[in-house]
Amino acid sequence: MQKIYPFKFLDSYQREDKDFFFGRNEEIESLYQMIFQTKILLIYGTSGTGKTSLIQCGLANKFHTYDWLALPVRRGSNLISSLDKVLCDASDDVFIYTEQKESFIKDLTVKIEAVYKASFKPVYLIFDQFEELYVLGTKAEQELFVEAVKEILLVEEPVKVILSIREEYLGNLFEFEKKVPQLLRKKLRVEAMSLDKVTQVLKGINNFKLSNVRFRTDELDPITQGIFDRIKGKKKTLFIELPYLQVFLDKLYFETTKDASHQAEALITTEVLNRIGDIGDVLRNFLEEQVKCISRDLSINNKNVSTETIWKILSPFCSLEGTKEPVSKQELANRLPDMDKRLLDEVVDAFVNSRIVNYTENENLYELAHDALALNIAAKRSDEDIAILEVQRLIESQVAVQDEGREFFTERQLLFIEPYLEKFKPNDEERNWIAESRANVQYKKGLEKRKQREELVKTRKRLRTVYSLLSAALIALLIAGYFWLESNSEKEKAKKAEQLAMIQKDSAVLAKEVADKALKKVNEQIAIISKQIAIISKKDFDNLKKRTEPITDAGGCPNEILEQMDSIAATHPDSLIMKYDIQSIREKCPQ
Amino acid sequence: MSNSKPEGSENILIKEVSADTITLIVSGVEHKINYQLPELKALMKSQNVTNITYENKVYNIGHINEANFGVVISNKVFNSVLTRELILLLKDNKRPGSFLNSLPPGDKDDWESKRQSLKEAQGILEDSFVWVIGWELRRLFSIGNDRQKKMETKIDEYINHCFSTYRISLQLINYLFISQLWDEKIKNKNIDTDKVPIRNFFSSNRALKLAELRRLLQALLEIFRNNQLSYPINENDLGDINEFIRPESKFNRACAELERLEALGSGNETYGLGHCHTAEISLTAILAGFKFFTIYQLVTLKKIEYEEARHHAARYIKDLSILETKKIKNLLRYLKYDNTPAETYSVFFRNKNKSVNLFPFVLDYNALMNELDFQIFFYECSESESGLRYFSIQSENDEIISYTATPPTESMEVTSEEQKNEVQRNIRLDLVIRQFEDAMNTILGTTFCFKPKASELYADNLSNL
Repeated sequence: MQKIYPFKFLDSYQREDKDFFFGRNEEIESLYQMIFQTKILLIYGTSGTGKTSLIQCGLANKFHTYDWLALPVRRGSNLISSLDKVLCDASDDVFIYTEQKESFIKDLTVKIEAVYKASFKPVYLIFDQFEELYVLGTKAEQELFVEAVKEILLVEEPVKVILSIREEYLGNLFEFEKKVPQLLRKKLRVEAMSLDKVTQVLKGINNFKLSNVRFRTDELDPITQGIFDRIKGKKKTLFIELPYLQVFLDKLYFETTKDASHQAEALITTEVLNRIGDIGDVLRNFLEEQVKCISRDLSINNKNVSTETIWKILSPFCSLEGTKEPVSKQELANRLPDMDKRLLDEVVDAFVNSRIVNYTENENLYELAHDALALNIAAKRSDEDIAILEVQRLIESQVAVQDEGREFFTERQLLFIEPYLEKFKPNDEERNWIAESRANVQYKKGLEKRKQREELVKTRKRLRTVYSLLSAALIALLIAGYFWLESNSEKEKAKKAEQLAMIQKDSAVLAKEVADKALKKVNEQIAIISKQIAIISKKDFDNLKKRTEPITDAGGCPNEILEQMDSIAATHPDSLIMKYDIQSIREKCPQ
Repeated sequence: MSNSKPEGSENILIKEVSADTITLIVSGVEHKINYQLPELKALMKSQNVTNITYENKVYNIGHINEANFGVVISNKVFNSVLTRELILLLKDNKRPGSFLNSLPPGDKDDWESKRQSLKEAQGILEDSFVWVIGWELRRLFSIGNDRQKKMETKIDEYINHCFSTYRISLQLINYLFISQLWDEKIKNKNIDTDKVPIRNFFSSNRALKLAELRRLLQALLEIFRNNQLSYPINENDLGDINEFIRPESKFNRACAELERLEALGSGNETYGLGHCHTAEISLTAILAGFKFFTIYQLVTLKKIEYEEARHHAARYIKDLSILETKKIKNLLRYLKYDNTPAETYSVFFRNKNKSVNLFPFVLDYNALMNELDFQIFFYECSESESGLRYFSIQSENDEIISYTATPPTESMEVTSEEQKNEVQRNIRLDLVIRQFEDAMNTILGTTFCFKPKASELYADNLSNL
């Protein structure tokens, strides 16, 4: 049976690479467990930790083919359209993809049903490099995607969503999580390669019977340590990045066999390792080597093609943030208007041959082989290159918005954009929008001046009003002061009157008390008299009380009673009945 | 189907092939025989002929064996017989009926050979059966429809899934009867249930073979019939139980055929298309016998919460999931509020009239783990004296639930959420074991007790999901 070269260089592992995919058993088991507990799963980690391989090879191989229909979706130029296309293509001709004017996916649920029914396999929508939605996508696109995911999660057919994202962009998922709360319930962080994992990789390759690469068995541990230390370099870290390991293993193989076609069998020993020595940044070195080679090779047929030119052509493959950005040859030409188109084509083809860039046929796009390369390319940019990219980003993001929502560039932005306009080729729509923005700025300036003049007039009017009001207020204050003084003296008078009234009140109270006492005494005496009269005869007394005519006949009234009646009449002049009758009695009564 | 090649006496001409019969022209005379290679060979021997013509191709009978018999004489695609026969079986149901009525007149006899019609019918069948059967049918359809799969892999996967669909059907009906029998035995201890197949069911330390599962079903049916017990399935839906008991019934002949094929594979024989065809036909007959699986559904009770406020009646909030899709109502998960308690982690097999709780023989593992979505486990066998082995329908892996004997206490201090979750998980898994133990002891009259796995007390052993 033919031997296989087990290293994938910068490519990700696919389902068919199962036999030589090592070092991720724990992660695979965790993912496999989680996938049965959720409809949406998140995988994150730094660039180059092997997230794509983990899904496309590790997780995929846990399922039989009748239980796994993986539909990878990359953003391309728009994530919604890409998803739509993937679904249409997988629907077994039930739906044919056409570019839609609407930005949402028509009949999304029905399309998913059609995909499922085409194969009767549970569908796994794998959104790889998901950070591209936030790096390259618009806000509207992000919102539409969230709505699409919400709809997908309600589909009854077995369909699941797997998102793979660089962990630097986790914060961008905040709005997404608000609308899809289960987004972060099940997630897995993929870490870089520890020494233990590197050991698993090399042991696995050694045990793989069909591998055309072997490590000397008795030297496996020192070789592993040596590889780990060289890639780690001087950094104080317990991890190395997977793409560095892959590139280095490829380098080791080449050092052993000098066979670029990867057919020869290789036995890697510590001696080979020692020959390589320190490697610095293996990925950067690889890139620089390739750039030099390409520059040299192309200079044979063309005018001097410098390494700077090659780096310049590489730059558009990397976004401002240092992530890979798929581009077509046409887009490349637009971004580098000064470059010869033929040269551009040759350089891009050279990139593909040297494994720096991969070509995706169905999308006609070229893309860096790995994110890790993007960081190195980004590091090579000059300040001017970065400024040009920022300007491009600014223009694209504004023009991508629908007419109703689009905003003009501010004056400050225009000042930033102007110097770089000739360095790349904005399309007609972008040029028009810049021109309209300039007009808008002029218009706004004119408006501003008019506004300022009006403001000045208004201000003067206001001032006049204020002064008038102030004067009136002052006069009012003076008048108020005068009346205040007046009222103060009145208050004094009132106070004195009140005090007098208080004194009079006290006197009256005293007089009342005296009168009350006198009354009480009279009443007491009346009571005594009454008692005495009662001794005479209650009946007589009652008769006396009722009388209205004087008594004309006292007949038989004892003297002492008459004397007492006298005394009562003397002391109680108000005792009318007694007085009246006593007088009558005295007049008529014989002495 | 007819062949345009002129008749001859040097070879036999196959005129037509159906699911059960082959029509041949022999010396100008039409013969009909059963769709069986031995019969064909016998006929050819009697005519002293070695060649047979079909669809303009001439075959030497000496080169035909059971493995390639199907591909030689049948141009039918995978699942065409299964799909057609099951749709016709269910033609009185709304969706299958509507599908058949909507076929163009020209396609009515042969719609299963048209890809789109076949897939549409398969979609209807998947939704028609109870979830576990529907899921297995889905796999069969997926394997059969896969144009990119290598043929050897396809044959192997297809025939093994015929076996697993049969197995799961038998297991499901057995669990129904065992669950019901458990309840009946509690009411009446005198029911004689100590039968060998039932004892094997509970105490075997390997998965029962297909034939053993069938014998178990027959034993259970006899117990129910002899003791006039109430069936877990409506008797009208179950049909004539003699069909499941009589050895010569169509159902049992189909079962025997599948079991024979399974035994061939164990003897390292390589399967061929002919074997697949036989397996498909046998499975069709079996599923026809289990037609009642189309009028029940599986519902898992994931969680019950309890609420009571002062001066207000208490109520239970039940979190239920229906596993089958409901095109019309779109009701997959719902909360039910009432004032009656229920058995937690139940997996109900139910319809409007009947409801049987299959726990602990069928589990929703995600409910036990307090996870979303569902994972259905089928009991397989005992795992020594400290656990039970289950089969995951979704992952097709065996999983072991070990007994940890987490002590039941009135209260327990909790220092972290993780600790609480782990203890709760172990308690729930222990519940599975203890319920199984209870069922076994009730039905068999034993006093068996599971023992905790000493080396991993309080630990969850499910690490290979």
